[in-house]
Amino acid sequence: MTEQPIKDKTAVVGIGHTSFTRRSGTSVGNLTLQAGLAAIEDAGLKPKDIDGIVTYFHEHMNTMPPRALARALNLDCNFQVMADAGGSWTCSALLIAVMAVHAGICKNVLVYRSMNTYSDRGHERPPREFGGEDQFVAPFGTRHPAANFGHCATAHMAKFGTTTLDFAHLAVTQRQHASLNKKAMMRSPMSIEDHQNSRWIVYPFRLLDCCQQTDGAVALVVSSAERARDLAHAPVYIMSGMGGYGDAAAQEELWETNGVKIAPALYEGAGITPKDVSFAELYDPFTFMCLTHMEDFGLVKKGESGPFVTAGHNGLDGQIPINTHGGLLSEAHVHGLNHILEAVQQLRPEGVRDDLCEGEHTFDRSVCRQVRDPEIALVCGEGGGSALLLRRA
Amino acid sequence: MTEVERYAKPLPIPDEDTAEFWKGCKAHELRAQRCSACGAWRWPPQGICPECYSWDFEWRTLSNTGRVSSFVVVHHDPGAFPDQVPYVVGNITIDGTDDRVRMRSRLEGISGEEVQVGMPVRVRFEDVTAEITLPKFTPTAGIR
Repeated sequence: MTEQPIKDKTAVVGIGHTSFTRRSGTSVGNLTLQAGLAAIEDAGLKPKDIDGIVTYFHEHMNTMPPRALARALNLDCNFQVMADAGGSWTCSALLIAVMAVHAGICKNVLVYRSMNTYSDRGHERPPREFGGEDQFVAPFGTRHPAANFGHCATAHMAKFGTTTLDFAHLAVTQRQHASLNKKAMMRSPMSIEDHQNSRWIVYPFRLLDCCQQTDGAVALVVSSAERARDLAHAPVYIMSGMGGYGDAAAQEELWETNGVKIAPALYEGAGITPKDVSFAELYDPFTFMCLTHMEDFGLVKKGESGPFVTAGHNGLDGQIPINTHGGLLSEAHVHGLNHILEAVQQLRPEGVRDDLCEGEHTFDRSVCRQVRDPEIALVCGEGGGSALLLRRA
Repeated sequence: MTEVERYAKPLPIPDEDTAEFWKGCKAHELRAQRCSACGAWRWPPQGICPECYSWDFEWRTLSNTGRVSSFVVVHHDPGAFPDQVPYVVGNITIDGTDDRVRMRSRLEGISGEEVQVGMPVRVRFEDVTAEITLPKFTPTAGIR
């Protein structure tokens, strides 16, 4: 077993976010500043303490560029990254901040994703001619993400007997979690029937299998474990991370994601096994992708995620609570950085601060979404492209 | 103006690696590269073999048949095909390619309720412009 040299050497020390809406009414720059300054304040730091910046986007450069943020706050940075990588890079964004801190290049790195994806649809007019990989899909009308990832789902259904009713159970459980989350965009109750009666978008996905689009921002601050001990909140340590990226829909086994490739080294890197995971926040642009992530990261045996969620084992008091904030499906789509935000909240001594509890957490599931006594969280990005193991102090 | 010239849907831009594939389609043949050094099939087309890193290859004419390895049925398309929904897109594994040549393409002559994983299919070439021919597929049994 080879543990990663970064194990427990860095921590998430600050978290911030804007409200998640369908119309922010402001620029991604202002969203970044709101979330970023909130995260810096949460950490007990000053803006000038930030000396590294990481952000990412997918195809359309609709986040705030690092140099614009550095200019807006008059920061002197030692390292800046902006990646065109999308949701598969969610955990890589945090991991590269970890690496910059662990290498001694930066002291405090701000990681963020800001977007006006719901209200700013201006980029959606496609060109008429397509080169690169798209030349083999666009002429056939299959560039839509649901059409791309749907193949993985129908292959899994044919191989293991997974059904769209299994998808319904996952969607309903995550909606229950979102109903206990003040910042979630979709909080009204959903029934199995609601799911099964919703219209088809791209078979095997109905409307309620698909995540929403969001205006909003999430920001996180990463510092060294040593420095973290003097900051405002108890640190949440990064045990290990992997960023294989990979093509979610082009694995040798069509029903798997890149997760199967990075999971062994992820767990070895942290010196744990999947059995040690207390809860998980798994990328879920479509219901099925969350199911396959459960399997690919070893939380559930291959092919058994359908029965697992139908039995409710992914609930807040289940065997492994999954997407405790509601996920991309019901909380918001902030390119998965909201998954890391939730994991950090759950692992802090005071727990989540935006459920419906007043004062101490009660574990009464009509108000409380705090997981009982969690120690270790698994988070993964789209198609198992990146992943992190986090632990409480 | 002829029907062909009026084609207004997305078209591919062939490049140095893929031009021979599209040339094959125009000749109503499916073509893919096979590594001259180790015999591995390459898909999508690329300069180097991902198995042995040889730059040598030859273009081979493939079977006209394959099977459906996975599929989706598009009921809502925010892109270029809202007038054609619902339509079926198959992930077609071409016969005789060691499961390496897999193409996402239209499955025609079958409904979303009828299509199944494992179903045998055959290519049907559609000449959409003077330069471009698209390979689409229909079920081998009972072509309508």
